Amino acid sequence: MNPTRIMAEATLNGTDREPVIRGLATSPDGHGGWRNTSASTPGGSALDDNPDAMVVLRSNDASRVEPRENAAEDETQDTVPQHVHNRSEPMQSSVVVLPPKLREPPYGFRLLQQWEGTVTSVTEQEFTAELWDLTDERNAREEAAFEIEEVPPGDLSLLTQGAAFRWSIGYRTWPDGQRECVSHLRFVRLPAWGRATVKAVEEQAVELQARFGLDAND
Amino acid sequence: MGGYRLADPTPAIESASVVLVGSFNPAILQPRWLADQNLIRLEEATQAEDTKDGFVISPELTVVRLSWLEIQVAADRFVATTTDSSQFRTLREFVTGLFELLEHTPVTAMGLNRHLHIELPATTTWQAIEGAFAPRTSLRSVFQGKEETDIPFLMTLAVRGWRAGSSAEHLNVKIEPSKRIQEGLYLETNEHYTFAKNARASAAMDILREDWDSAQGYALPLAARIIEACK
Repeated sequence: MNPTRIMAEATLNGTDREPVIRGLATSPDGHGGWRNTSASTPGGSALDDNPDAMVVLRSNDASRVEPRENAAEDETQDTVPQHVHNRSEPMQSSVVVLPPKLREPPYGFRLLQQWEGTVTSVTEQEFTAELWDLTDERNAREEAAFEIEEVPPGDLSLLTQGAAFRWSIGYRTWPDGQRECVSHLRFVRLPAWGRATVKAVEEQAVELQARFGLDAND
Repeated sequence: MGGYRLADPTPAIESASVVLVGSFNPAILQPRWLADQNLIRLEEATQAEDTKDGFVISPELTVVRLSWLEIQVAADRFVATTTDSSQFRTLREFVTGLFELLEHTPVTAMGLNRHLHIELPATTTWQAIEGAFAPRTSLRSVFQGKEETDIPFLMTLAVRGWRAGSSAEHLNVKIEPSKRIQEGLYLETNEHYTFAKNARASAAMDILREDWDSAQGYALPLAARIIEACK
C-alpha cells in the first residue's frame, strides 16, 4: 500500500474542460511533511501515483455539500438512470478520485407530524406540556401528558419545568424494508453559555438596573 | 418563522445540512467533548466511539457519525448533515450551540442545504422536465453525435437565483434525475452566505437561527411547482 496521503482540492471550473486539482500532500514517513501540489487531471496528476489518496472535492460553491447526495450506488462510475435514456451504458466519470461519501443513513424517516413542547409540570410518573404544532402552525396550542418512560434516558436530566422538547411521529423504514410507526421525544439541548453571551447578559442587566434605578443588591 | 410543510409530493429520501467555510480545528470535535458540552447525549457519544466508522479523527479531518447526525470537519470546512427529517431543527440547534461555544471561529461563508429525492408522478416524467428546460431537439442541433442514435440529453439543471425574503447572497438549485430511486427527481437547494474575511461564527449563527426554517421549507414546494409545471 502506498503510504502517501493526499488531501487535495479540486475546482470544477465551468470554463475549464478539465477539473483542476490543487492541494497538499504529505508522506507520513516523515520525509517532507506537507507540501504543495498542483496538477490537472487526467494525466500527470499527483493523484495518479497515489491510488490510496484521500481527496476532498470542492466546487466553486463552497457551501454546498460535496459528498454527492445524488451519487449512484456504485460510485466508481457515473451512470445515467434508465428512466432518462433508453441506453443504460455507464458513462465515464469526470472525477478521477472520489470524494468522501456520506454514510448511508441507518434508517429512512418520513415525518408525519411534529410538535414543539414546553414542560409545564413534572410528577414521578408523568409530565405535562404545552404543544405547538410545527407541521401546521394554524392548529391551536394543545396540552398533553406524557409518561416519563417515553423520555430517552439520555434526556432525563433535561426534564424539568420550562424545558423545551420536540415530539415527532412518523414512519421509520429500516434497510431490510421493515417499516414502523414511531413516536419519539427529543429534548432541546442548550449548551453552556459562551463568554460573549454572558457578557451581553451582564451588560443588559446593568442597563436594566440603571433604567429602573436599581443597584446590584436590589 | 416558517414551520414544516408536508405538501405533496413526499420525498423518498431527504437530508439537510449546514456547511461552514472558515478556519476550524478538527481535533477538538470529539464525541465525548460534544457530550460534555451538552450538545449530544452521552449515549450517542459512547455509541459513536464504539462503532466502526462512528468516529474518525486526524489532525486534518474529523468525522463523527451518530444515528441522526454526521459531522465532517476539515481545517477549512465544517459540514453537519442529517437524513432524518424529524431532526432538522435539532441540527440547527446543534450547530448554533456548537458555535456559541466556539464563538471566535472565523467563518467566511455558510450554506444552508436541502436535498430531496422525489418519486415523479405518472403525469410528469424526467423527459417532460427536460422538454421544458432543454428540449432534446434543441440540444441535438448543437451537439451532434457520431451515430444517428446519439441523442444529447439533460443531465443536470443548475440555476442560480434568489429566494424572496432570504438574506442569502444567492440561491443555487440543482435538478437531476435521481440515481437513488426509480423514476425519481433529485432536487438540491443551497442558500449561500458570505461574510467578511475577519467575521466570527456569531454572524453566521444569527442567520442560521433566523433563516433555517424558511430555507428548509423552500425546497419541497419548489419541487412541487416544477413537477406541476412540467405535467
